[in-house]
Amino acid sequence: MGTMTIWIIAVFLTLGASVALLRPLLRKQETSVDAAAFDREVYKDQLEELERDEARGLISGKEATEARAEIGRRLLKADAQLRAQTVKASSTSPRVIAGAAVLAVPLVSWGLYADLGSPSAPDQPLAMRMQKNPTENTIDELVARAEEHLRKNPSDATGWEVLGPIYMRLGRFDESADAWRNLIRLKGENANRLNGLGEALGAGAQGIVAGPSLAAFEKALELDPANEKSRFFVAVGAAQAGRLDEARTAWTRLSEDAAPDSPWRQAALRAIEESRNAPAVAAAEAPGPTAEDMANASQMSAADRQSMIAGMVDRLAGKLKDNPDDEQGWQRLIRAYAVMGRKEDAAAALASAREAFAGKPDALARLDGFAASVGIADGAQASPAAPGPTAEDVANASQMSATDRQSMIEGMVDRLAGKLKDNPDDEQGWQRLIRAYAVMGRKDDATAALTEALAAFDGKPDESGRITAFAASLGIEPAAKTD
Amino acid sequence: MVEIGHFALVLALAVGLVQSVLPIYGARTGDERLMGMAAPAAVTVFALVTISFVALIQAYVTSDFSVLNVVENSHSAKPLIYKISGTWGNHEGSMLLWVFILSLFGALVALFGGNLPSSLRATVIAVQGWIGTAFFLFILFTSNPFIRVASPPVEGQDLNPILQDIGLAIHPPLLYLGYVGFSVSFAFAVAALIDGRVDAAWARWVRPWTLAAWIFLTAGIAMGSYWAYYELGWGGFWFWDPVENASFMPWLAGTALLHSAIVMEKRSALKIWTILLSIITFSFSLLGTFLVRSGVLTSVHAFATDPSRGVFILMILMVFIGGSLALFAWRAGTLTAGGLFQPISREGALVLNNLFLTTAAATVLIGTLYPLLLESVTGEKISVGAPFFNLTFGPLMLPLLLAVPFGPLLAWKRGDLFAAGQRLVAAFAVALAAVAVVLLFVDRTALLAALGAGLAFWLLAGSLTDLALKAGIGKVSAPVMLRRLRGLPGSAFGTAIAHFGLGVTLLGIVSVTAFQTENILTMAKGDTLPVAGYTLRFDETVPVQGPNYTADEARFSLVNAAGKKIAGISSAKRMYTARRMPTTEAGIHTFIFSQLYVSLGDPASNGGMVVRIWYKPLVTLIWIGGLVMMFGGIVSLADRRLRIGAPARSAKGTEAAATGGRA
Amino acid sequence: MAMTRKQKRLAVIFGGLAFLGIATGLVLVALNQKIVFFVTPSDLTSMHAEAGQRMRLGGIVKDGSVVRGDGTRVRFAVTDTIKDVPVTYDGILPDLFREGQGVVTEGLFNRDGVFVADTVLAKHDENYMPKEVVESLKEKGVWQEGQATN
Repeated sequence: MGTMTIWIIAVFLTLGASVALLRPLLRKQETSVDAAAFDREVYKDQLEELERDEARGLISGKEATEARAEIGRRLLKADAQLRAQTVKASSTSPRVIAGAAVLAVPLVSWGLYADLGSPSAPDQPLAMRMQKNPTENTIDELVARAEEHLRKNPSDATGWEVLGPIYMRLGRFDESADAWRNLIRLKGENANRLNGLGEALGAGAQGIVAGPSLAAFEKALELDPANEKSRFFVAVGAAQAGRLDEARTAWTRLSEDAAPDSPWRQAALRAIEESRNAPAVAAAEAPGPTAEDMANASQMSAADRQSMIAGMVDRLAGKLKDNPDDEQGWQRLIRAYAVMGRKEDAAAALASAREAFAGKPDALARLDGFAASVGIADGAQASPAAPGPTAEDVANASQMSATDRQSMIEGMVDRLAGKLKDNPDDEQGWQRLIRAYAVMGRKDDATAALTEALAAFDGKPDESGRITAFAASLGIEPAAKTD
Repeated sequence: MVEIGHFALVLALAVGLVQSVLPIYGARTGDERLMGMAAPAAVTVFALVTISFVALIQAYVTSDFSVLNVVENSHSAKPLIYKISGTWGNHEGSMLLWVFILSLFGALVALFGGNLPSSLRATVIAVQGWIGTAFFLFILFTSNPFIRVASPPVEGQDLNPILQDIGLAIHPPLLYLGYVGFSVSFAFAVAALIDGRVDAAWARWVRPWTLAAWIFLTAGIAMGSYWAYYELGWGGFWFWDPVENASFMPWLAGTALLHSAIVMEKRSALKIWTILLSIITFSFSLLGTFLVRSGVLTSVHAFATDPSRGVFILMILMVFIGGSLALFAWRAGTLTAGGLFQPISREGALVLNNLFLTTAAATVLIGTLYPLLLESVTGEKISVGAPFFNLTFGPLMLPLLLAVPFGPLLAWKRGDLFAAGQRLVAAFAVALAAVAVVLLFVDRTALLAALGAGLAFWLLAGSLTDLALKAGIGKVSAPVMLRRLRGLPGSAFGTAIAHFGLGVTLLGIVSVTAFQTENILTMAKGDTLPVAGYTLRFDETVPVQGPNYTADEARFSLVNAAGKKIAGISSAKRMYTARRMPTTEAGIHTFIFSQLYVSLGDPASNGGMVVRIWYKPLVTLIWIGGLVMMFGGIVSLADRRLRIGAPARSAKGTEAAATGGRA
Repeated sequence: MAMTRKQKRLAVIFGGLAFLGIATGLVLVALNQKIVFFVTPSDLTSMHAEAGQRMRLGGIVKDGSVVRGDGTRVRFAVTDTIKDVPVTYDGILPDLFREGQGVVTEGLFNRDGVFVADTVLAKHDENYMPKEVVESLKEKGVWQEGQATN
């Protein structure tokens, strides 16, 4: 239904309603009939009923006589009312009032609808959306159409073949893997299908090519030993497993075998490059951008690739905001920033990661080591001993929205500050507070906290020394003495 | 179509404003033309809300996911019936259903109100217009079901699986027909207060509306109880859940109203009380809407937890309940007192009925609201459950039920209790026999259950006695009796049938409460359990693929003593795909009035299933009794309808009266 | 029946008042004896829950605490993250009973400090957290640390 049709129908509805309301006004003014006349009808009916009941013997004669007298009295009263009633003079100008009121109907309805309604939004029944010209469909709708089709014809291999890569691009990795599996079930294995499956599984495992993913690529390589994609990813698997030399050899051979314009040649060269830049440990532990991303990127123009990578990294950063427990994710992000030359972002990412893993010394150590390996150091390096917020706090925080988390952390820090006021002997508490302020970027507060802490440990050189050193490691210096 | 529906709803608000103002202005100034606008306005509003409601249903049926409400509550794979019923399975849609029914009643008053004085009719319709306007505003500004989505998703989030049941298709509409039906008696009461004029005729006019609302509410409660019984898998028929209480309070008050209106109609007495009761009954209906819709009470039914809605409904409550009670306090004094009667009389019995029913409603109200009150005052959290209601509601019902058979046997004005007692000797004997039978043949120790059964048979036999006496038993020959019985007015039959239904329900409750057996055990394939003289065998577990769920269905066979399979029972655990939500479908086998109820638990460690098996003797009588009560109401209404069919006569009479008036 | 109209009215009023008095008495007794208090695990120390006192215990089913015994026996712990309370239950658990989800149990403590539940409620919504549980957790500060500075 077009917008026009909707307006036309709206006009008709408004007209219809107004006419229905106005019609009684056009009638001649009738004399009002007194209510008592209606009462009389009821009482007459009650009398008849009474007689019927008496005739049937439902009530005794005495009861009936009494009741009759009572109804008779009511009837007389109604008659008296009726006689006393004079015809009321009709009020002066009801037509004007009513006319004005009815005019308000279109005003109110159109005014309010203009505010509330969405007249330009057409109906979109699902069936219609599924049938319209595919070029007008959104990707989601196209996928839904394909799904609908495959629900009815689950053995349509072509459908699965189309859907597999689309799911991949939409980030629905598990479904992509299912699609590839279905295709393999229907049409048998070949290198291409196995590569697709391996990619989907790898992407679903945050880019780790291992286990079933690696197995799929290896199987593909068996079927087609020259397949470049399979060779590339088997090498990625080796690199991720820490067998860097083996991976480099494989990539080097691939870059030699592949045609000069092959995307895999580029990818392999880049991979070799990266594996040299990153120390062995990092390469083993930190998976790069997902293999799929790399593959895609290698087929694009430089500018496209750049923006794609930037987008990818942003996506990753967004994901980590929602799900900051992903240690490998943080490593990937830090490395990506480092590779892209965005050192400040990398440092910030490290800081966020440290915040997320505060209280988990193991993870912190790994993160710091990794960051150092790619040349990034947190402005706020802390000694691993400094206790952060409790693990529960963090666990809770990870389930909250970013703003909630932010305000929760602030609340936590403030509580800590309050606690230290009451109990200033807590050395670790002071360290936590200073670090928290430093991490949150509240440098002045950190400095103030350091000053307070030093005042609290006045005359205890060991403690003040440790705290000063700790603060210095975070870049916090004591305030200039004012006394 | 969606936007047409939205526009129609906005237009209904505009017309509703006219309906609220002009007719009552006309009634106050005596202008027939303005009063004449009431009926077309009410019918127009009904037509517009119908368009709006149909548009929303259409959006659900066609899975139009450009409508937010459809996205949030529907799924394209849902069976058609649940797509339709899903329209009112959520807050916004259910509110639209509410105003749809309200406008339906408004239109019915407009169409069938020909026998009402025009000023009364205009005022009643205007008051209905006030309620409608308040709810239109509420819907459009806080609960608009027509909000659109810019980029529609391809799939919805599905309806809460426990609401995907035929029960939801029927239960809320019936309940709302009851709740909202009482808005008519409310509007009549407010109109009477505004007019300052109320008499026996008023009661006659209001009665069919009250009766209709009561019939629907009875059906709605019975239906809701049965739905909870089989769908929630707990095997209980009444939980004293706040939402159940919310529907039960208007029922109690409405039942009281039904009885007090009889006194008013016949004797012109209890006028002020009846007016107050009309207000209270609808107030309970609004409160019920509030309790269910605002999410104030923790309950299965609370699908809305938006505080702005709560505040809006609170305002509606304050305006309508507070306003009408203030009007009552101000105007009740102008109403004249009615006929006199002795305490022992039909009127006295009906007053007693009212006293007990309203007090019972009050205890339910306290039990429902006390936790809220306590929490807001002291912060302590408590729950008020069955033990509370058993101690308060039970003792109040007992004397009432004992007194029920006496009522219809007492004469108006002054009755003879002793004579009535004599006539009930036979019924008393039947009740005693029931007690003896239970004690001798069922369970020697179940004294309370025996007395309960006795009370139930007292009601059953009492209502039959009433009919037999009206037919003239012992005074006339059988053929005459039959003829007299056939000639009895519908209302007499209705009373007896409804009271009989009460006995039927009570018998079911007593039997289930006292004699149901429960087994919770782990059953593996091939295991058997003796139950109610049969053997229940666990055959197999089968995976089942439903339209929007997958299920593991456990199949059982019911085998009789001769080893022959007489029935299959299957109970299932369903997993609804869209919401990843499990439900349990109970397997029920009915033997006439009793039921075997099988509900699945979790898989046990040894590969079997935990199974809960109840044998519930005479359980269906609980709801059959409700149906019988409802049928009594219908019989009574049919009788009324014949007499309400007076418009033709009434119109003639009106003309005559008008000429007479001028002469 | 030689009462005057006034006397009759008085009698009716007194009868009604007496009746209301009885009803009120019933309600008060019932409110005294038949209501069930709602507590969370950390309330218990302060409420000195004696054995035999019927109550509702609400909280979250502690992760990893559900142990299914023979047949229909289940043991689990209800926690409000501050304190845990061991609970036993013999019967069928509701469909949405899961670890990490809100739950309300009703029953009483035995002498060993184990809560013996005869009713377990988990509401019918996948995100459902019983209202009382949420509010209690908020009171305990477990949920509202973020608001501490506001």
